[in-house]
Amino acid sequence: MVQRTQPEQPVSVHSLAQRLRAAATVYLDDVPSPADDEMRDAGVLLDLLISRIRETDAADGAWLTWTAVTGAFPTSEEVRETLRQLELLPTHEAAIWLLRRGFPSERNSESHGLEMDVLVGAVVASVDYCARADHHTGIQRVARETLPRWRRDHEVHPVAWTDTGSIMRDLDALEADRVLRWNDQLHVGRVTPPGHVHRLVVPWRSNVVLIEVPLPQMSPALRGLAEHSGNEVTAVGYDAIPVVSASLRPYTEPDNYVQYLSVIKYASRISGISVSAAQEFRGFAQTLPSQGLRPPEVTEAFLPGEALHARVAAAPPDSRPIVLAVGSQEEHKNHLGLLFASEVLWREGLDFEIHLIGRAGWNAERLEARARALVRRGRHIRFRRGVSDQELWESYQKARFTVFASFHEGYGLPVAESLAYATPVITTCYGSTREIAEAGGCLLVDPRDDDSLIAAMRALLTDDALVERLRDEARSRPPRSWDAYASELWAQLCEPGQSR
Amino acid sequence: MTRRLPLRGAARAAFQERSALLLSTLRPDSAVPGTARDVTSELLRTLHDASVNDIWLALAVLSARFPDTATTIDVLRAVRLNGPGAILRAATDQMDSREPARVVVAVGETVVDVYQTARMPRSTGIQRVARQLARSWAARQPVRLVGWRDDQTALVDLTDDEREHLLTDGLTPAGPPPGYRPTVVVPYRGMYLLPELAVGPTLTPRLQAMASFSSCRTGAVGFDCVPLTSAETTSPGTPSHFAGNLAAVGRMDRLAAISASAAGEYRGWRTMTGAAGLTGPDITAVLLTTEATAASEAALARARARLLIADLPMVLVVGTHEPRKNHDAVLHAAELLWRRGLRFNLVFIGSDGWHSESFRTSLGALQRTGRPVESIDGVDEDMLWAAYQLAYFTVFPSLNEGYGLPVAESLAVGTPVVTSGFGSMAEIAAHGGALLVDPRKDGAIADAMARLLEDADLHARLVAEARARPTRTWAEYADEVWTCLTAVDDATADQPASDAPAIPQV
Repeated sequence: MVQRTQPEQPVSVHSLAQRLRAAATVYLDDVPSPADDEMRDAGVLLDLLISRIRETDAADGAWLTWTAVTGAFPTSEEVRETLRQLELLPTHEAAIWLLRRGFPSERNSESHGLEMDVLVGAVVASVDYCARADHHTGIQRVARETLPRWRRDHEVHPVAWTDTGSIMRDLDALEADRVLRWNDQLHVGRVTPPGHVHRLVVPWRSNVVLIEVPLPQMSPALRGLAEHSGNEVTAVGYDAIPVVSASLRPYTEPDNYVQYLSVIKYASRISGISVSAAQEFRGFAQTLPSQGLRPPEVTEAFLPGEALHARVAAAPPDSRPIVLAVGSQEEHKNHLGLLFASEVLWREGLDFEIHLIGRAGWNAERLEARARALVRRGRHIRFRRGVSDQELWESYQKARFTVFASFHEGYGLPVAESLAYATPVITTCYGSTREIAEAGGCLLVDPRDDDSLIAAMRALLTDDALVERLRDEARSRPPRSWDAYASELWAQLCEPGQSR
Repeated sequence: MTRRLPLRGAARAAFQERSALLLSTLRPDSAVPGTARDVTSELLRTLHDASVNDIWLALAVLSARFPDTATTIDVLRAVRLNGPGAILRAATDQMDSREPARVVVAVGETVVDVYQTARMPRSTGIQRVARQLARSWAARQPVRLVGWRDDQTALVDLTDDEREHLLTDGLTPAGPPPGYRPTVVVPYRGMYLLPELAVGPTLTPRLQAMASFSSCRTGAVGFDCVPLTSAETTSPGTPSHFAGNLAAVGRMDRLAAISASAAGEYRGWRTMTGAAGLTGPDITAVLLTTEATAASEAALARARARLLIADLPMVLVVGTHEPRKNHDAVLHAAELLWRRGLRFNLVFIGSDGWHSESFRTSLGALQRTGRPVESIDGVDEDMLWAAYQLAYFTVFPSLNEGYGLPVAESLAVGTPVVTSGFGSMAEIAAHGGALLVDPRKDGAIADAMARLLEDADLHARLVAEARARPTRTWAEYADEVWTCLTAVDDATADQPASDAPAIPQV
């Protein structure tokens, strides 16, 4: 059995000294020249940092100094504890107390030996999942379309996080390709070569943009940052489905989502991806005065839905009409309502196929069982999972219309995509899908009223003139580009003047 | 067409009895046929064009288990495709065949759901409120007190023992006697009131469907939205239970929040539900009340001996040790004052909650340096009131409260309070007797404590203010909540006119 002993000092004096100097450079008015001995240098700088914090009782200084000592962002509780200890202990004891808290632990095991760069007055975009994963749907598309445009027009620093979610780090070359050059597909088939040494990134007097929804393990560090670091935190607000429509989602999902809320309650600005999404975050903001917090300013920048890929030949006119439903198969997307409405119409003698494109999500088994029963009765239902983007674009064009009668969406991407191919859409009469529908090409239904869905599908299956009219409406929708979205988002989250 | 029931014995008899009950509920003016076979075929005829509400009622009555929303809709669709036999199939699949309950349909009645309060009385703030409301309403209104079945699938009448203890001493009831047959209560065209926090993965989906489909008016008391808005201070699991509760409460008509602060949280949540096409309940703030109880002489003597140190003023902190209550800040503020030479002893009354470790560590460190501070748990009500009376002042700098009960209790006995300058704590303090602070600044807490310790005039003024506060009884509070939840209001508020442009809508 291997005995592990806790080291009595931080593993790397070199990186400790480097981090303290980086912190001192931005936090102290006068920074002494480096001493020959790194340990001595670290000690001198730490004493100076502590003295400065004690003079000003400054939470931001405590946050920065803790970060430099431990190589991890402190939690809110750790910042408060630091301020209390610094108020009670003499400087040299406070320094020892802090250094002991910097011993390698679960939170800084990956990062205590790394050097850090302090970014002052910067825009720092948190994109961990986009940097690491090849998945590319809603949120990733927003980040990967927006950041290259921000980068073109402004200075912006994309950052990922350590595996434990304790502190930000730089991107390696492959990750930068995933985030900033996704559409060039340079990342395909590559892996990061071993031996890449990350540098930690510490924003200071900066704007930390949560353009992704951060993972739960980042929440303690992000909350500490948002509450105490003096950085401005801003966010893109996607939706609050896990807590607003909890009965349609896995029972334990809210536990993770509320950790995100506990971060953005300290945000200064949130930009919803639709008026409806913004309404959710405005509602949340409205709860905050009850706990003495100043609510974030909530605005909206509507996502674009432009079609990016080439068109294919239209389907032959004599084939059976295809009704398309795109989206992960989860209860809140209301695919069961679609199957019921379809069966009613099949029984009326209408002939059409249902194509369901999207991955199987939570509780998809019920949907699959229902579909199997209908297929046994001779109904035409196809589950198409793992289709490529190209196949998806083709499907939109071949379909007679799309059905997207979801109970709750921050932004109904399939609605916008379908309309971009001039394929009419039946969608939900409230929320973000209604907003998309306002520019034309849609029929609206109440997802809680099967009859309204049945009537809309019957109309589009039987009335060619209606389909043509909606196709015309869809073609004349005013285009909205990612360029427009990116610049609106920058103005809402990053233009100075509104920080608290 | 009549199908043969796949049921035997008691289950078959219960199902037939329930079928007759359902038929007479759906067609109150017609006689119920004499034979089971005729009842079934008459029932199938009646349910031929069943509405979703009819289907909910049928499933609840026949199976003695309330369906959730997805099941109700599922059966509705099956009925539309394949006829009303689907109801009987679903009901026999779901029913409590092994130990079938009695079933009553509470047509037009007001049922009050006090499940946790009657079954598992612990003195949480919520349960104290629910008990007071239930007692007060039961004394003056014809209400039916109900809880949930053991498997949390349906409302049932309270047992006699549950009812007895709920209405009198609040003690834990005995379990039901062997062979006890519960009576499932199906609310219908009446009123359902929920004065406690209903939670649980089996319970809340069924409550949601009941609120949607039982044709009842529904109302709940709203305590706070802390698991949603201050998740960093709640134990794992709580936010999911709470979100499940909100999904059910979101389908109710009225909500009486226990403070303007709680109402603010619920209104924010209701704004969020608009994205899901929901309107949520009408929300009214009815500020909770607190009635002071004079401590007994014996308790006062015990408390003096236990809590006071010579002539030191005693500073009292009441509440669970958990991060939201901010007790670490109180310990730090007290240490700053002791270092400045101020003389007082500090008493915490409360049990350990989630993440109480840092409080325990700091407390232990102060005790080792000889500071006059201690933390006591397991104090009875009498002793608690004695502590409030003996305290020089209390400190309650919580970060978020639906209603800061210790603030109200302290002021009710004329003891000044240092508390947070926002939310329900500031509301309670609005009539005087308190110093308001920013609880996120330890220095502000220390300063307020120092002022009260050093300025006898200020202390006397706050005592006088606290004693002059208007009082309100539990009965008055209960009446206000009753009116708020049950009053018929023709002007349907909270229905903003739609200004959305016209879009073809089928």
